[in-house]
Formats: sequence, C-alpha cells, structure tokens
Amino acid sequence: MGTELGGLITIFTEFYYWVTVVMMFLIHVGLCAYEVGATRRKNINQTIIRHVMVLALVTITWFLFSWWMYWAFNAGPGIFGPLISNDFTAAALPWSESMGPNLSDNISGVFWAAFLLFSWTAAAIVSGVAIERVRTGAFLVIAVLVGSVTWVIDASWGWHAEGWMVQLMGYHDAYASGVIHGVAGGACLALAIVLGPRIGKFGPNGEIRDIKGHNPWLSCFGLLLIYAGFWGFYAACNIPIIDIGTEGALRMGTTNIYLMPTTLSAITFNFIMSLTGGLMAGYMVSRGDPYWTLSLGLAGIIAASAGNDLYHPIQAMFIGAVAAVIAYKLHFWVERRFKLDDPVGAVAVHGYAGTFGVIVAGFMLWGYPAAAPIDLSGWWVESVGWFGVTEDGYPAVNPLGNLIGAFIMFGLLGFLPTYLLAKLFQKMGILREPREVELAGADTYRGLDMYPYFAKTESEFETVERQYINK
Amino acid sequence: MSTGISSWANPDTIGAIYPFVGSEMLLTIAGVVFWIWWHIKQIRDENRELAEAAAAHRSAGLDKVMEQHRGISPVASD
Repeated sequence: MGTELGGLITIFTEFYYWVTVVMMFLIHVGLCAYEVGATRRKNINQTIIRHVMVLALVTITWFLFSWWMYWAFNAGPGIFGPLISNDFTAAALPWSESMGPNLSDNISGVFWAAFLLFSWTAAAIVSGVAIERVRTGAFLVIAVLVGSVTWVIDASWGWHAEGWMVQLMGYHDAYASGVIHGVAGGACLALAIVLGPRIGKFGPNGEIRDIKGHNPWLSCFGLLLIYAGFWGFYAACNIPIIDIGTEGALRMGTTNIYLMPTTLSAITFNFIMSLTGGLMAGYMVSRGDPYWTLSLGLAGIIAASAGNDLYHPIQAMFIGAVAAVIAYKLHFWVERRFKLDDPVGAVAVHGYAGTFGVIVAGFMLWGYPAAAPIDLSGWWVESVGWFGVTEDGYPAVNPLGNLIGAFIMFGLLGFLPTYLLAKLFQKMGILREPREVELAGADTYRGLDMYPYFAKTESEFETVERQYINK
Repeated sequence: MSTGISSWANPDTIGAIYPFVGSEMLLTIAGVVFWIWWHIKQIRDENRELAEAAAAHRSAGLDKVMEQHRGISPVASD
C-alpha cells in the first residue's frame, strides 16, 4: 500500500472477495435444500448433516495443505517441472504468518476463502449422487479427496495463469466448466457406479422406478438459491481491479483467472443468457418439469462457463441450450442402459454439461491468448503453446488443448481417483449402509424425524420397498 | 506480560497480530492430528451404530420397524 491508489486497490480487492465469499455461501444453502428436497423423509437428517460436515472437513484440509497445493503444483509436480517454490507458495503454507490476521497482508484470507468456497462446491456436488445409501464416514473421505485434492490439482494445472495445462496446451476454462463441474461430475459417476442403485430403484425386469423426494418444491427453491450464489462464484473468478496496460501505460481493468482481460459486464451478460438458454431448452426437453427445467438452467450456465468471459451473449445462450438437451438425454439414456441411480442428476448437470462446455470453448475461442507466457527455466519443457501460439507469443486457446483438458478433468482427476477410493472402501465394507438401515431409513434408529407431526403417512415407494425386506 | 501486540503505535511495522506468534508449526501439527482423529473416530462410531441399528431392526422385524417409525395411514391400510 505504498500510495493512496495502491491502498484503495488493496482495500477494494479485499472487500470484493469478501463479498463473493458471502454470496457463494448461498450455493451451499441451495445445494443442501435441493438435496434435502430430493431425499425421502426417513433420511433427511442424514442428508443435512452430511452436507454440512463436507464443508467443515474441506475447510480444515484446505487450510492445512490444499491452498499451498494450488500454488505449488503448476508443473505437476514432477510431470513438466519441479514443485513450485516462490513467495505465493510460502505465503500459503499453513504455518505462514500470512495464513492468519496480519496487518501487512489484506488479501490472503479473503482469497483463500474464495477458493475454499469453490472447493466446497466441488465436494458438495458429489453429495447428491450418493444420498440414501452411502455411509457418512466413507463419503466424507471421498469429499475431502474431491474438494481438497483432485480439484485443487486440476485448478493448479488448468485454472492458474502459470499452470502447465494453460501454458503448454492453451487450456481455457474461465468459470470452471471442467475445473469444478467436470471433476465433480466424474467423481459423481464413479461413486454412483461403485455404490450401485438404491434398493428397489430398478425392478426385476430392469424397469426404472421413480423414487420421489419428500419435497420437490424445496429442491426447486434450492436450485434458485444456487443461481443466486453462482453470481458470487462468477465474480470470485475475476481479478477485480488490476493494471492491464502495457509499457507503463496505466489502464485499470478486470481480468479472468488467467489474468487476461474481461469485464464484469461481459460475465453478467453471459451468465444470464446461458441460464436463459438452459431454461428454455430445459423446459422443452423436460416438458416443463420444474425440477429438470431449473436443473437444466444450471446446466446451461455450467456449460457456457468455460468461455463466458468472452462469448457473445447469444452464443452463450445457444451453448447453454444445447448443453441442457445433451445433459437431459444422456441422464435418462445412462439410467436406462447402465442402471445408474443418480437421484439428483448431478452427473448430467455437472459432468456432462461441464465437459461439453470445455470442449466447445476450445473451438469457439480458438486462437485467443490463454495467458501470458512464463519463464520456463527450471521446467523440463522448452516452449509454451504446444498446439499454437498467438502473434504475441502467448499460448493460444485451441480445440485439442481443451479436448485433452476435458478428459483430464472428467476422467483422470474426476472419475479415476474417486472410483479407486470408493472401491477400496467397498472392499473394507464401509462404503454402503447395511441393507436393514437403508430400508428402514438412516434417521429411524435414533428416532430422528424432521416432520414429527406428519407421522402416519407412508410414501408410495415404501410400499414397493417392503417387497425387498426378505430378499 | 503480553501474548502478542502491546501497542498499535506503528501499524506499518506490524505483521501478524494473533497471540503467540511463532507457534504456527505446533498449531499446524495439532490441526492435522485433530483432522485425522476426527475421521477415524467418526468412522468407528458410525460403523458401531450402523451395526447396532441393523441388528436391532433384524431383531424387531424390519417390516414392524418401518411401520412403527413411519406409520401406515388409515387410508393406505384400508
């Protein structure tokens, strides 16, 4: 804060990220509400407490090691270069004086928290796919894997101006279509496969049974809250005020996460228009089903997010619309074909839509500068922009880089680690609830009931479940 | 005695303002132990409770448990 301008920029930036953190809290209010709405009455307490404890465990691990990983893993480590060590990595170590109240550092805490809220999102997305059958302990370890390890690695690689995916492949994913949603969606798919469907979800002849949540309106309300919180998410992905001028000519502006220019106006246009595209297509394809229409609105935003710093609003709208159709169709095709039980459609909305969005961005933004080239001395590669550079020598965004990136996000860092850990827990017998508990309901043994005055009612599906008691 | 700051006279020269500056490594180790301990205890407790619940449900009869805890509406049972 050497000058008045410097002081104002610092305080503004501190306040800006703080506001985004508060706004992003709404994502978790919304995620919790929509999962609870999709849960049957006998498991509501379990769903709530599991979702909240994800946030606590991702927080402690984010403090202890993940924040440092984000800054230190740009080159792999060990893939294209060493573990990064500089002022940023030193400040992110849990024993650094910057990781606490410090009068000479106004930014670390709010920046740490903004990234933490992204991590909460990545981990909490996985919660919905496993409701009503996974054990809380196993799930919480898987959530730490996704929220504090795998997504952090991919963020360091592909969501950091100096990450190897950005520098070498020209990967572009400004608002985390793949970095958060692709990874979380891949993890959801892995967990759903290993867990298997809820008892009775598929009939003896493979027919699909609709297991209704206890409160579809609460799910819709949750999705609306996620929309609200998503504004904070978008804002937090930007650097709000920074000198983007060249050769000493001061030009204050906003940048995306890669320090490339955009504006708050740009992302406001595109956030709303991609939501609109998702909603309009979602309404058509689901024939006005409220839960799916709202979910596919979210899928629209998620898909366009990779390039929403730069798209024209109508481009963003059509990308959102196409993603909504793909996500919806794939969800039901996979359910029918592979008997996959995804109670909230998380694989579709986050995984399929996010992955589609990353691939599309590679084509749409072909040739744009991905990030300023870095000095690669110390790395084990010699040049940036393997798949093309711009006229200024910047690594260029390109289809191949984003296609490979989409595979890394969904498959390599999303699906694979979660699949392996879930398999390990399955082998240890600690992945899925005992059959008796699943049928009776996780809340039943302890007499917990979120709606005690609505006793004496039995859902249609419980009648079906009774057929499975002695099987 | 002071556990940290005793004067705000020169804020430009002040860095960390929490008490017991210098204990960060110990705090980190304590944090790691607390985190690992929490997972282990939670998984053990949950496994025990699930085993108890499954046994209790089997012993009481699962159909009866579902009936008792959820109830069957007069309309549904008619």
